[in-house]
Amino acid sequence: MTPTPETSKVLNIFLLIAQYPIMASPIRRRMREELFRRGIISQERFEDEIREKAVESQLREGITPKNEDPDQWNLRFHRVRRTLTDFYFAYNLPIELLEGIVKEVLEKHTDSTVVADLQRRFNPELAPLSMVLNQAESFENLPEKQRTEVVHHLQELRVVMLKSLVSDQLAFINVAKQWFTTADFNYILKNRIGTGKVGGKAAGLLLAYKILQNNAPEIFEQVVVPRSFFVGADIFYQFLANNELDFIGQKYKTVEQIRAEFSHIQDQFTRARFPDEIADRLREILNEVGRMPLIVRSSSLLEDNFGTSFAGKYASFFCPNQGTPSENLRDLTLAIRCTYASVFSPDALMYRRRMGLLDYDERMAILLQEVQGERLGSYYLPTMAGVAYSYSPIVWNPRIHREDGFVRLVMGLGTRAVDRVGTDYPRLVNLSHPQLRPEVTPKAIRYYSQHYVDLLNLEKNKKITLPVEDVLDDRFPGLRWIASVDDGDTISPPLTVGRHLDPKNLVLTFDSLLQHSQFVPLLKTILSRLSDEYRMPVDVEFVVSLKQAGSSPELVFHLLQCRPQNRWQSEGASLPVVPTDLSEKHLLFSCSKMVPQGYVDQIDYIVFVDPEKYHQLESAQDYTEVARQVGKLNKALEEHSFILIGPGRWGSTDFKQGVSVTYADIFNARALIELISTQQGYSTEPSYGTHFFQDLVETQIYPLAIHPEEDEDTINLDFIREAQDRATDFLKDETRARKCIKVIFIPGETAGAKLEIAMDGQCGMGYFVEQS
Amino acid sequence: MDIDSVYTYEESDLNTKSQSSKEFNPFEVAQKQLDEAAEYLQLDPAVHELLRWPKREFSFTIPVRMDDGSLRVFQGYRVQHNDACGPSKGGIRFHPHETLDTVRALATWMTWKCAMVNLPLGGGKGGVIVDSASLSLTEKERLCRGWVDQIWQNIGPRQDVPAPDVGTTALMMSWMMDEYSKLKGEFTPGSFTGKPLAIGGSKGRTQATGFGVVFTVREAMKYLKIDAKKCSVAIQGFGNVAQYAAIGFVELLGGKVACVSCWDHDDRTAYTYSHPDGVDPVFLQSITDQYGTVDKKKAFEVGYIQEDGEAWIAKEADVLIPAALEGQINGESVQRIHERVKIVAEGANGPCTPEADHYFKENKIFNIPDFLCNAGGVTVSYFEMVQNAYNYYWDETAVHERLDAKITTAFWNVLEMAQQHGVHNRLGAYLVAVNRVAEAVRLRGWV
Repeated sequence: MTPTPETSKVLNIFLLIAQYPIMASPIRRRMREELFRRGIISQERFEDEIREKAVESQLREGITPKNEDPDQWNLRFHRVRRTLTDFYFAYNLPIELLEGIVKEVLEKHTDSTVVADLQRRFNPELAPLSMVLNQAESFENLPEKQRTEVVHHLQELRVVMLKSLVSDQLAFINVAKQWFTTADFNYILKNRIGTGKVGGKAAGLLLAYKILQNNAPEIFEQVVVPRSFFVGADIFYQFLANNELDFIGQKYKTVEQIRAEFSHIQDQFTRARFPDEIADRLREILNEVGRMPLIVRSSSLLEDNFGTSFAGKYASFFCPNQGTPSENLRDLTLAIRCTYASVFSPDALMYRRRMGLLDYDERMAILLQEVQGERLGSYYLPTMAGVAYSYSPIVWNPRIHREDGFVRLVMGLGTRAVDRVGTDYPRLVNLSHPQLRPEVTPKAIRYYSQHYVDLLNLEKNKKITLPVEDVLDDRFPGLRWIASVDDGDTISPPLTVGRHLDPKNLVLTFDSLLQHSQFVPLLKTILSRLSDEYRMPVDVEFVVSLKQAGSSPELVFHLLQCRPQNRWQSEGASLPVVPTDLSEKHLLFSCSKMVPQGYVDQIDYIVFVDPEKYHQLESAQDYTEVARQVGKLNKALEEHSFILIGPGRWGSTDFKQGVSVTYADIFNARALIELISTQQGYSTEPSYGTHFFQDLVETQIYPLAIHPEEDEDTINLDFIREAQDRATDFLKDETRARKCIKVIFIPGETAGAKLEIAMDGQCGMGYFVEQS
Repeated sequence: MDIDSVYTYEESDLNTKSQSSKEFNPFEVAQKQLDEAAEYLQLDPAVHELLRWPKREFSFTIPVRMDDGSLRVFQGYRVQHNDACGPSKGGIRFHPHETLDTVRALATWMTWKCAMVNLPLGGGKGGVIVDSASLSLTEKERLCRGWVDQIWQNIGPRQDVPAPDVGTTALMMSWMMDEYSKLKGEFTPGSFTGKPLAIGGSKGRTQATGFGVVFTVREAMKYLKIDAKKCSVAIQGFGNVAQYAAIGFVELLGGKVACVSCWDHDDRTAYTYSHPDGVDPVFLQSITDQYGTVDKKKAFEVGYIQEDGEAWIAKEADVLIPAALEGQINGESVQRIHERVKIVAEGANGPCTPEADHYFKENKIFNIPDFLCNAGGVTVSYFEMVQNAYNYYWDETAVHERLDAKITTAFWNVLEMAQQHGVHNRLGAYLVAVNRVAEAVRLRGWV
């Protein structure tokens, strides 16, 4: 087809305006004003025509008019208007007029009021993202004086972009809007697959980085974020739809059903496939990162929100990324599929139920990060990693200032700091007194140190766990900062490093790092700046790499995650008053170690696991059965207010240490009381600082530890033992495990009185209160 | 009381805990024990009265500058119960619940223990009311040096020689020795024992208590006319003491180890390990970690059999060595002892209850009391002082030969005394000790 002169005029107009990408809108607006003013077409007719043409284009593009997303319709409308503007102008007015209009608009551009005027012409909430981003960029590029006048518009644009790309949680936006710039949104867009939000974990990470960038300039050079990619939350829905993974209403089923069906759900997810275009994008990412190991981290929309941490509810997976390209892609997609499946895990759903988040349409985005570390032969691991809390959940000595923060530090992958692994110990550091530790003798220091290290074996292409002595020797980078030498009499950092150091004598103390490097000040700065801006305590996952430089190493802080850390009590709420005038018969227990702040009243039931009988159980099955029975009571008593009292560490996976319940077995309880004894077979360490602990924090299930053998602590076991057992009202089966569980109806034993627990941070007391 | 093995720090901690929970006054207990011995010996009342009380007690404050610039004042003690036989010897405890009565009692027991082994030493004990865990390393160092600053004129190689105990470590002894040396103006390593090897510690300390146990067992066999080469031993525990008791039993006596029981850190339970051809303690030690847990897998690979932790006591054996915790052989468990058992050697502190003692007497089982049986530790502490004084250090063999001589003599002294008075060995050991101190008191003209 030979182009008509008018066609070439349309093209000329298009090309002319294309030279002014930012001014294009005001230029076309002026063009339309000319068309209307000269009576070539009325405004109403013009807009009608836009609508008609837009609807025609919908049909051409196979879209049912009513089903089009408002954002997309808006975009369509604007594009058609643009074309029609050029078309009417080309057919009716000379190109010289357009040149005049362009000149006039450009002159006006220097006048800041025009800029503001431009902004009023579209609603950012409805506008396409690219338009909002362009607009924001042009505002950010304005000279400072003019930018001051549009700062409120810029704020609005940023909020719109945050809501579209990162998170629509208001508490988050409220903090984040001060920090994000278009460069950050461009970064997300560049590294994102799909169109949805990047989810809570990614949001927290980006926000923390921005805060430090702006508010901690003195240390910011030392802070880096690993190369990250985001799989938008929309991909999750697309994946479900494409694979017909239809679990509608799953979240509203009973705990038993959810638990029973989860393995089937996992199976279906692992068999499902990604659409080709997503697989292609993931393949591109794998090409881009080469053979760098990756970690797939959940980043759901609900996750890491202000007030709900979801710590440990959703899974993370390592992909060492050392196979053939197709193996690597298979491993990566499998990791993503498994992370998707964890949305339906019993723990996650029970947590949401408890937090009142069940009705939210949860979607899972993915944060894909390069694993930070060093290569040591075929091993790959960070020198050290950990979790830092800006407000210490642990106080074992009155000298410690909780608000100075707390760190769980390990060598190797941070999994050992995040998770609690029965018989191994991360280094626990209270930042106010980093040198203080509960252990005194070299033997105890060695015992309560990390014995195993998690790392990636690149040859075997998997994550493994090895004894520390198999990895730590004189060639380990930064050895003198993390290890001490046990010479049989003393444990102290090595003065010399060489082959003479026997790996068997090395103990992970991190003593030199804590005493002689910038580690503690660096952590304190990071935690305080972040918690100041979050306006609440935060916890941060990190990796630290060391570079020897002179007498003190250079530290690089790799920020992996930041989220609000929940406290027992919201700011400003008053502390409960612990009664001091109780008679003996009114007191059920008192405790003094690591007491939180809080208050629980109207407690009707005690579920008691008898320590003696518990430790006499014969088989592993019996022990596991106790946890299941507690789970059943948790369900049976959900309408009542009850507490749990039992031996050792509730929630330990090692049943010898305590009843191995999961969060799903106890979430209705109001308090979880650990009886700690030094007798053989009992655990002498209460549970704290674990994922489970955070669950308790957020759902205000108060964990307390009673050491009956210590003077300050008491528990009235006579009351418990003499009380009538009501367990048969709730549990039907007569297993061996059942014999060590007792259910006490408190008002039935106390002539109507109920139990209250008051905790003021120093002392906790459970006492009976007559009901008036 | 063995003052130098890590074991003992913990055990003596447990002792005081259980005593305080029963509202015992430990010093009253110590005095009653002396009263009983005095009655048997028909001890001169004046000497008796003298020995009931510590000779000197120091109670002092220690100001310490804390890391944050503040000043804290700690309460320190040193009790020298008796120095008739030589300079006082005994540990320094850093304990939050330290009391003067606890320190007095422990000092008294040190007097008897040293005298029983015939070491030319008296008994002492010291302490500070502090939770070691609440101090940083630098604060601990200042507290240690502060303790010495207050008391240095009343301690020293010729007066009173402290050692590590609950809450104190070899490193702290190094600081204290250094402070003492500075104040004295001369290097004085013999002012403290339990020091690291590099600054005047003694070789052979690791094995001392375990080998000491074996020496007493060997002598008991001689007395009972038993051929050690035909004997087997069942051992509870596989920590430091038990490991060297087992190795010594095989290598020094030529006997067999029927079984050892040990705590499994991972499974949080105790197991008994045996082998159809007898336990090879050196091999077993090589697959045991720092905390006495045997690597099960490696043990199974070479044919070891695992039973529950209680099984050790019922094994067919000629000798039982309880070398783990207190109260392990009680009225109930003693009934399960195999009829072949002829000797029970108390490697741990207080492993047998009075009911068990009674059973031993009824069944003619020879009991080697803890006092004597685990005296190897304090003996090597004495050797450390001797080597410090000479500024000449022995090799391990020399240490163990001299240990053998000391323990062997002590064994026969105790046995002879017990037989003379027709009492059990436990009281016999007391009588030896009290008699020896009383004699020194008399000769020095104190009464």
